[in-house]
Amino acid sequence: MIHTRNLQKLFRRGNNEKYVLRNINIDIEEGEYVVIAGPSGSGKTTLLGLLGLVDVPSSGEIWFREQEVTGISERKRNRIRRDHIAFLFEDIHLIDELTVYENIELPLLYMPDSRKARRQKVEELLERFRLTHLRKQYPGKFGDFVQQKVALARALSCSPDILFGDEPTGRLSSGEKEEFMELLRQLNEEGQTIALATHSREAARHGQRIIQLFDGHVVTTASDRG
Amino acid sequence: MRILNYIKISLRTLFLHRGFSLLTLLGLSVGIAMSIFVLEYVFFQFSFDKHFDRYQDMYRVVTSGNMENEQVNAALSPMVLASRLKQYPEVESATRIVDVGEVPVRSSYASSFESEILYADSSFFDVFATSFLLGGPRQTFSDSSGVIISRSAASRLFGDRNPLGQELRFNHDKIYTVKGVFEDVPQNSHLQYDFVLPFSVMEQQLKDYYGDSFSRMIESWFSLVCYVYVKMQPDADVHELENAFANEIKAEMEEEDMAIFSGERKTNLHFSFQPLHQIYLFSSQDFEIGKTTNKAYVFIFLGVAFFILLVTAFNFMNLTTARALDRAMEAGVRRLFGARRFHLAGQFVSEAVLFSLVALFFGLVLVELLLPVFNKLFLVEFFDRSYRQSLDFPLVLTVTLAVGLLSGIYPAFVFSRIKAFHLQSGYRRFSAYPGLWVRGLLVMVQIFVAVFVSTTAVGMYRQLSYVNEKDPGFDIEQVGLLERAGHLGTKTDSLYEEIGELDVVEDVSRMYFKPGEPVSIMSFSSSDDSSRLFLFEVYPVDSSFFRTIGVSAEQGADYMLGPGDIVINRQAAQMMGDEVIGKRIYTVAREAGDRMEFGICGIVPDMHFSGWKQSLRPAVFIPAGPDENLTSFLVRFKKGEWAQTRQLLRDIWMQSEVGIPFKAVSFQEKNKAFYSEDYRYMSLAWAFAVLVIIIATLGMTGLVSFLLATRQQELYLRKITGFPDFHNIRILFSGFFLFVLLGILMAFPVSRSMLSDWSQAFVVRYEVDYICFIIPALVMLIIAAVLVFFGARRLLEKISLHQF
Repeated sequence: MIHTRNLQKLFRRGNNEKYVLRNINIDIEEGEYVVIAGPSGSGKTTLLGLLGLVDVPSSGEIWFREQEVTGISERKRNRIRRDHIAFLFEDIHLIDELTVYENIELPLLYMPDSRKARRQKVEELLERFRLTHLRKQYPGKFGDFVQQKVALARALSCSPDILFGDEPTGRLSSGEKEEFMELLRQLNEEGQTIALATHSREAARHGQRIIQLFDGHVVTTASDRG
Repeated sequence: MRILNYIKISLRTLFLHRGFSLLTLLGLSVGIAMSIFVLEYVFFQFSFDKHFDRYQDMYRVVTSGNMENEQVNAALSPMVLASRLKQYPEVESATRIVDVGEVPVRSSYASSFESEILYADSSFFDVFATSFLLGGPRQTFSDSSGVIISRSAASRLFGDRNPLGQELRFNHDKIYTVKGVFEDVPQNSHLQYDFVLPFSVMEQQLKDYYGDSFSRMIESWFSLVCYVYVKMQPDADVHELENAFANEIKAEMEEEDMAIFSGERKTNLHFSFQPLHQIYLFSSQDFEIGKTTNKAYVFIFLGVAFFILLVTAFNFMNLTTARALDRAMEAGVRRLFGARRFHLAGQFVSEAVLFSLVALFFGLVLVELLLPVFNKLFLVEFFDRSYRQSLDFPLVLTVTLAVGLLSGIYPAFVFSRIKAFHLQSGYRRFSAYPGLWVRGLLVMVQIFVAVFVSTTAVGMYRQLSYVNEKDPGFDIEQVGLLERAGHLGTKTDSLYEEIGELDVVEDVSRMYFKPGEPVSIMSFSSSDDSSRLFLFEVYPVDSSFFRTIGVSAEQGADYMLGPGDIVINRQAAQMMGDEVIGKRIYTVAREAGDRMEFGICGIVPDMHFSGWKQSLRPAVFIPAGPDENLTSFLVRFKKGEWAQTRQLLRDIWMQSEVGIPFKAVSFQEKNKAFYSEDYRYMSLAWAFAVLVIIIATLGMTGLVSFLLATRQQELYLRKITGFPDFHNIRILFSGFFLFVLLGILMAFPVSRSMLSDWSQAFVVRYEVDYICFIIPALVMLIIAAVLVFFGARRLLEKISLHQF
């Protein structure tokens, strides 16, 4: 689904230059559950941003569904992201002024779905993640686990081809982590492609394949599950 | 659908962030309410005389040119003008008007003292088309005993009774029969009238006064005694008519000029057509009959409205972007899920518009609450029957939408620049960096406007205090006026005697002119050299006049006037040259051959009876003749005893049962009244200053909150590194104070220039000094310091709590 060739990301600040990612060649296939692991500063978040078309590489190629998307315009990246990609963050990033229902509905507002279709989709997700009773509540009231479940529902509302997660369990307790990872595993079993960036070994073991990053390089790629 | 989502979010923001919303709504509501008032006022000013169906065809004929080396620029015209103009087919109708002045009017049921009385030709209502409630103009002007009155005059004098056919007694003696009642003249009409009397009455009075010279006077092109208004045929070319008319009368005017001045050309007058709807705002003629205003004020108010809208919008921008961190996250999330720039821009603009619409509601409540205050300040009945009965809603909506759009532009620009990757790479950095300068500049503009308006208010106060305290050349502190004495009839002398006997009264004198109103100007020639002509203001006075006003002669043996003696002021003496005492002068003003000669017996200081807005002219004080029109009694009272004097005057007046309302003012009060319009505008300037300071304070609150929110981490680091709090605050807010100072400094030259222009209306001007600037500057700096102090203290406490 996503392939990168010699992907590099260079950050400049004044006269200082630093390669955050160097010669990254990875392939994520449809239905896979890939974990991008590595210590802090190894480039996981940057790589996720590039794969998710949030950021642009300094050099190299990114292919999404057999189409090169490296140099495409912001508008086209926006459209691909809107139609095919979703994100989860450690900071969760729910909008406090919107209810649980409205937060989940948010991505659909930028899609051509009818109101009825939107409602149906949101209701399904509320049901699935057992959030129906909280639909009219503001998310700020709840703990991180519930909030992250809302964020997951929001991410899935636009039926993404691939779901990227950047340390989505970073703020959860160990029990909650397990439960949340289980949710992701179930999603993957249903066919959802997932790419998860984490430095947590427990989280990493849920993936089918681990791409190990260190100082911007891919160190190893290994199948770790099953 | 998205728009509904935007509205939903905006409303949630409003309710979930109540403190912030309250500040924002307060700023917006006050700004909108004030803008509505100011714009309503400005539009009212521009609406004058446009209520007539064919106002564009209506004109007043004014006179300009030279008369004996004197510049003439008068709203007056000669009597002969109207009848001659009527001969032109372009002129549909023309009317002469003379203002009667203040007189007591009495019906069988009530009496009142009226001032809106006109003598007018029968064509008056052809020019000024008016709807009649009862009767009509045709019956009125058929003889000289009819009068037409307004609805409110009818109500005052007849209550609910039918006034038609009823008698009205004017000034005790003349009786007229009411022949018609017309709808009240709207307040946005420069010419105000409650009574219209036939012009033939005026002509008869002139005939009685001028005798044989009357026919020459009414045929003269140089006797400017009435106002002429014309209604032109639609599409008539006024300039063409002006030229044709000038050519036609040229020879007649030359002939008359030569006859008066023994073969010399000394007069060159031109008659021009002034559009009716421009009189109120743009006329700068002498001897105006109706209301006019200084157009500078109207344009200043237009500027004020613009500035208020601007600072209100800036305030919203500042407060909205003060929550930049929260809003940046929201914008980032939306971008991540596919929102494009215009989606975000639309969201923030619609949010600002929605806030403005909510603020409009509170603004309208404010308008309702402040209406009595602003009616008084602007001297306008904002929503009355004769102008507009309610707010101009298209205007209100335009103002609100303008504020909303203007307010939303900057937040829309800032937040729509946020990209999805800022969610990952740190939107904190993004939102803090580009906003500070712009936000600082917005606050700077607000400070600039606040200091500018408040400096102007202080400057106006200083100028008005200055002219009030400046010596007018006579003893203003001990002189009062008992007005309307000219209408006492047979009781005049007895009342005069009684006043003179009061313990608190040191002297009393008869006045034959009204301070602040034009006095007649006559031309004089020196008996030694008749080629020298002087135009002097003529003040008829009695023998105790100078004693009463506390003035001594600068030169001359005595200023007590004997028959044929006159006293002149310093300016007149300077004009005539050296050694004027004993010189004789004669007047040539009436008619050739009607020579009156006077001997100059004294020179008195220049006296400003009409305040410091009117230039002083050379003047002569002549003994009042028995036919002179008495206006009031001038009373010299013991120092500090005006209140008691007024009460005693009232008692005497009431005991005499003259049936005329009592009116007495000290000369100091009278003097202050000359600047009533300036006082009103000064009060408005103060009101606006307070308002803009409030808005600027809200703006500064936004910037301080923003700085505290975005640099919290830096402050924390500085604190744990050991830097003292004062040092940290200084570092954090030095930029903020720089913007405040820049705003203050920029306001100074602009206010100075504005005050300088404004004070040109005064003959004497107060030199704008540092106090005008220091007070507003200090106010703004103190407010800024207080905001910083409390904001920083709260944050430092928070940091301490966080530490332990």
